[in-house]
Amino acid sequence: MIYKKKEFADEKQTAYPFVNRDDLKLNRLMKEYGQSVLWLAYSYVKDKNLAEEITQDVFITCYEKLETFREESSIKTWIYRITTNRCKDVMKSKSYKYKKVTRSLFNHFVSKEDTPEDFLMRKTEEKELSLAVLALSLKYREVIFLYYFEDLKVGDISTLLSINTNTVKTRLHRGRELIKQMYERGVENGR
Amino acid sequence: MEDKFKKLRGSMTATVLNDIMFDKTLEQKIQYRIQTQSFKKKKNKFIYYISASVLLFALFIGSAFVSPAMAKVASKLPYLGQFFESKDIVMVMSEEFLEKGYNVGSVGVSYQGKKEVLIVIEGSASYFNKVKVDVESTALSILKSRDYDAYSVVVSKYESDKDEITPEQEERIKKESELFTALDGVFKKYQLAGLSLNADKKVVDIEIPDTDTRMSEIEQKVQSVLKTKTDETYTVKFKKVNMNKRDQDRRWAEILGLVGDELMGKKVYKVTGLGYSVYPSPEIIFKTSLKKSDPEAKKHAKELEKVIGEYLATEKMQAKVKGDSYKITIRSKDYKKIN
Repeated sequence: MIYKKKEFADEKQTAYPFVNRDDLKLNRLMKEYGQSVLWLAYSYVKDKNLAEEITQDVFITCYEKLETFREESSIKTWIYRITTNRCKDVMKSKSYKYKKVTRSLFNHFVSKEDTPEDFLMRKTEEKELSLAVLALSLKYREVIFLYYFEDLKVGDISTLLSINTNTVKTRLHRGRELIKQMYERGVENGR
Repeated sequence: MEDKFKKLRGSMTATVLNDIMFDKTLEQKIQYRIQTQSFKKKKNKFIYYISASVLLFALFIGSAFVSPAMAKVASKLPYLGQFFESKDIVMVMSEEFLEKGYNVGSVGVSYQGKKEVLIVIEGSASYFNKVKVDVESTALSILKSRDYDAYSVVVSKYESDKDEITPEQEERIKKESELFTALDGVFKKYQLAGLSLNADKKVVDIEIPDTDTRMSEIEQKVQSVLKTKTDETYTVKFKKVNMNKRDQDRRWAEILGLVGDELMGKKVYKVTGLGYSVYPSPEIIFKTSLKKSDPEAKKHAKELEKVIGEYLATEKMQAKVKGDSYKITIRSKDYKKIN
């Protein structure tokens, strides 16, 4: 068995290429779901670079598993499931936990490169809500994100995360409560 | 509050997710990783067959420069480049099959003797019989839409390899590909031009840019990685690569593909084969069905050369030619240069 690793420039292109169906499928998946996967990953790890790495891993997994994908389940759910699983794996890793210490939520509220004007801009309602969602602990954050951002149904979220529908509903409810509380605390703090 | 939640998507994309974009760079990174990783995928045997013939053809190098007199030859041949914006015929067909939901495993063209579009359908025999006619007519209508009259369409059923892999072989393949994956770090760290592992001969072939002098360092690194995974002894061999030349090679392969698609697709051009070489300098070669003794041969060759030259002179193609000087060689059926 011979294995080859080449950089792009060395592709021996034939004048008449054969197109592999899987390559084509992958390109379509990336076009259709690339952005969603990246955002979903970000909502988990809250780090741009890490979210990009995870997105790469997700599509590589898709490519490897294309053949085993059963058409009866929705491709969207399939990809989202790969994404959430990958995110959770990464978040369990030691290096992630270490990084997390240096990446407190404070960074989200005031980032160093902000000019005073930016800072004021960021004080908008939109930003506040977004940050509040990101500040939720994972189990509430994921359902809030999937439900409100991704517009998934409770049933889909339940399938995707392998938790039952009542748990999804409870977490949604609790998540909303927590965000409201954050808002109230924000007011108390003399925002 | 619920109203605010309903606007969460807008809120987040306008703020915290504003600069989190799935862009071309990320897409390319994914494609790069797929290219460089080894996947145990079925490979279509035709791939090797076609590329071998193209390369072989490219070995015959003639010599002639584009003559200025060429410009005066009035062309009866249709202009090239009508489909530059769109994709090549194989790509167009593949996308169409995917769109229509046919389980088509691969699409390719062959020009051994006669020009054929080869379509391989996967799945059961009954599925094959059900869709065969539809697939064929889809292919034919795509050819027709481009006025490609030179191809016939062959639809066949995918036959899996007869010899099944034994568990021992599977285990061995697994180990070998682990070994190969382990070398990923070295490949990336030293930005190697190529790396291949021949597990049968116990050789690691490495291609490095000819400006790179870190051979012994790289060899040490490779050996130490191998040691963590296997007890077997591997030899590391190096090959120096001129990266500019390699880039040129890639560009001219692409150029030939773009020019060749139409030339091969339409009977009027009488082109039956394509070849290219960049050693010592770029040359693209077109084989025709004419005999050298044919009184029309020379005239046809001149006309061909003219339409090809004009096509390469367009702005879009110049972006790929990048100022390289090149030769266009038109050959007869019996491999003689006729332009």
